[in-house]
Amino acid sequence: MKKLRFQRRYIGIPYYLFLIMFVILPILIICVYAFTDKDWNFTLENFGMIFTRAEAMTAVVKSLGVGLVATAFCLLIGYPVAYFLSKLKGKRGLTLMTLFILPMWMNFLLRTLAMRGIFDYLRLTPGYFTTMFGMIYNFLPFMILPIYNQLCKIDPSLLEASKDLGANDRRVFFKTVIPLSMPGVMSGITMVFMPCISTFVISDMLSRNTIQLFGNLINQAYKMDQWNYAASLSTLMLVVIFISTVVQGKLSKGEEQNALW
Amino acid sequence: MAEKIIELKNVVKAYGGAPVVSDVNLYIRKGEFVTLLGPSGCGKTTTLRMIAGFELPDSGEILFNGKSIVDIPPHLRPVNTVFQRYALFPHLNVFDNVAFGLRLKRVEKTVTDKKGNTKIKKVKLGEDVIEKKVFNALKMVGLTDYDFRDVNTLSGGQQQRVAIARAIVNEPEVLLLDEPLGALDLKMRKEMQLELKEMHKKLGITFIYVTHDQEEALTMSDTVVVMKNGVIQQIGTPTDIYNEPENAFVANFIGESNIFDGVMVKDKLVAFDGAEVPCVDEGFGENVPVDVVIRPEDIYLLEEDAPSAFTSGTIVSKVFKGMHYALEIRAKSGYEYTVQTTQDWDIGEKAGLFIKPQDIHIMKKARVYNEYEGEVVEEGVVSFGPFGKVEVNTDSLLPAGYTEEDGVKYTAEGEAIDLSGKKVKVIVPLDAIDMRDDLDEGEGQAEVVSLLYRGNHYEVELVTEDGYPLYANSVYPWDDGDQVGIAFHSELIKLVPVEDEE
Repeated sequence: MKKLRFQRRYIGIPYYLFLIMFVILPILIICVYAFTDKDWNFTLENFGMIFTRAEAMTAVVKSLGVGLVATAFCLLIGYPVAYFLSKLKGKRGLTLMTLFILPMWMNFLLRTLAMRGIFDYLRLTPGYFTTMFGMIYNFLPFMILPIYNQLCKIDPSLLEASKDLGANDRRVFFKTVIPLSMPGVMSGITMVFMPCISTFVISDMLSRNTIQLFGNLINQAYKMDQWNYAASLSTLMLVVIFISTVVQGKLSKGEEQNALW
Repeated sequence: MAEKIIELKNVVKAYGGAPVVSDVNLYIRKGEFVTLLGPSGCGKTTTLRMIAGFELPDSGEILFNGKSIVDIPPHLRPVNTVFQRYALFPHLNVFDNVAFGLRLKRVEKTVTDKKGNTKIKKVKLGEDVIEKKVFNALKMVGLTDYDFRDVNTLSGGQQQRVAIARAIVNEPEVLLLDEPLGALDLKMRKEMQLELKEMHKKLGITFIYVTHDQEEALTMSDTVVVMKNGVIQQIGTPTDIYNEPENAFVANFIGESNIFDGVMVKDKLVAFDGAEVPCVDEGFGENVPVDVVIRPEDIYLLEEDAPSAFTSGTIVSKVFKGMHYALEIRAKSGYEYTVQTTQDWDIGEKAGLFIKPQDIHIMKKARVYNEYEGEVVEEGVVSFGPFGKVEVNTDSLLPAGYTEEDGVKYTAEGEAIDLSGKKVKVIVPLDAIDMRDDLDEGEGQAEVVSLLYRGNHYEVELVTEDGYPLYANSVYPWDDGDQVGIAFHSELIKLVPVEDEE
């Protein structure tokens, strides 16, 4: 008789269960809701609503726009920061890096709430500026960290080789440092862009509901008990994020793919 | 004689106070293949990096065709480097790696504008020119049809070839190679050695090559520069370096050697291992301690009681090396000899050893003792170098005819003698140092830097925590990097009074 023996692959079972319970099943449920009406009949009406309602379409476009601009600013601010931090020798770079990440130890909601307080005190009109500021402030570390890590990994002899072959400092930067840091830049962009287009708390709090983004729309739909409509919006968001990830993957083809952190 | 293309004058470089290159003087002639050879940490790579421009000398001059290049940044120097681990750009393919330097290059071109004026403009090289040059360079290193391969998919040898092509495509006047074959396996390395030598001939440019592999240096170079601890030990052709090593370090580093302590009895006669052996060297003086160096292939094995043998011994080990046997022979005196022979001797057999006078190499001893400046702390206690309080008999410092009464010493005139504070030169023979496993035993601590076997004992080079060099004799085979406690056989230490200037 064959004995039941403990095998190594059984160790994975809890994790498979976890993935099924908390990732695959919820997505399936969302999809089911997205393609049915209140009486569980199959329908495409929920999606029809998105594409016919003007507010829904503008929210999608606004989300993408805000996400792109915020990501661009994060990159513009984050790259130089990461570059100078990576140039610092010894523990100083690490210490400064920690300072940049330090705000993230504080809860995201509390930070955003505090920021709203400061904006009120400064009498800034809630709107695009405040929302954008909040997004950049919140997501900047996600841009700096992967770029910093990638820059630190660059073999210094490559920079010497570049100089040796006739590149002055400016050219070493543009011809060698930037191309070699691209995997970090790509994962930075992914990690900023994705939360930017899906967040609703930041726009909710910092624009006082004057700017309706993708996330806000979903939030409202759920609150108004339009579960099927909300599910279809969520599905659409998943598709948008999936497409943008694929596009980035194509853009960074040939680079190291494992550079997320 | 071709003109000097590179000249280093009194070049000094230190990192954080520790000298890496001390006072290097060296010139390299146009078209020469020069190798900087030495163990790791000898300053050879730093010297190369100073020529490339990645390091600046603390003092001294580096001349290129007679002009100083110390202030010229690396990207403007007419040299190119092949790096130790290739340093190929991972984001570029083979072609783009090789074309990297050419694409950065700007050439002067005379152009005529609309009004008919001629001007000199700096323009990029045309893609067609670049392509031609890249293909030529790749052909030179034997890598055709690899142009669009990803460099990460190439083998070590192929990456090495790309690195060489990337450097030579720029037509530098001097090619710098920093241990370029270090990461390759033995067979590949031998192949590349010959190819590099061939390439040097074809290109006709100057090669400066850095390696720690003495065989590589002897195979490839026109001139070998042997370095140790940032100091040049010897400069010469491979034959000179092998046949006429200047000191025991070079002899030991270049090929295998038997090195013994000897005494030059008189011209053409040297004593070592209890025998007086005729040699051809002269001019050392009489009864002067010397290093005796004998290559293993220069010792002939005879019958045990052959009259021409200077000593005899028992074969204790035998290793077959293909072309010859390597034998270890323990002489009756206890000295160990390494001998290469084509004859097949058996372990345990006894043999007489013979050497031709012209095969004995006599060298002036680099050091016979350690010398420090010191001071008498109190009677019987001396401080010197890094050592605080060492008990040494100070009686030799007392004036002639002193008397002693109740432990107090008086001069002949009856004055009490106080030796404390007296400056002395402290001579510590190599035998006077006792190395201990226990770090806290003895008067101080030191780290083993290198070992040199001398037939029946090791000469150990040490460096103390404060950076003082120290040489000792020891019968134990210590390892590089061992930390040891230093004690003294103080009866062997000699004190020489330093007369006050006043």
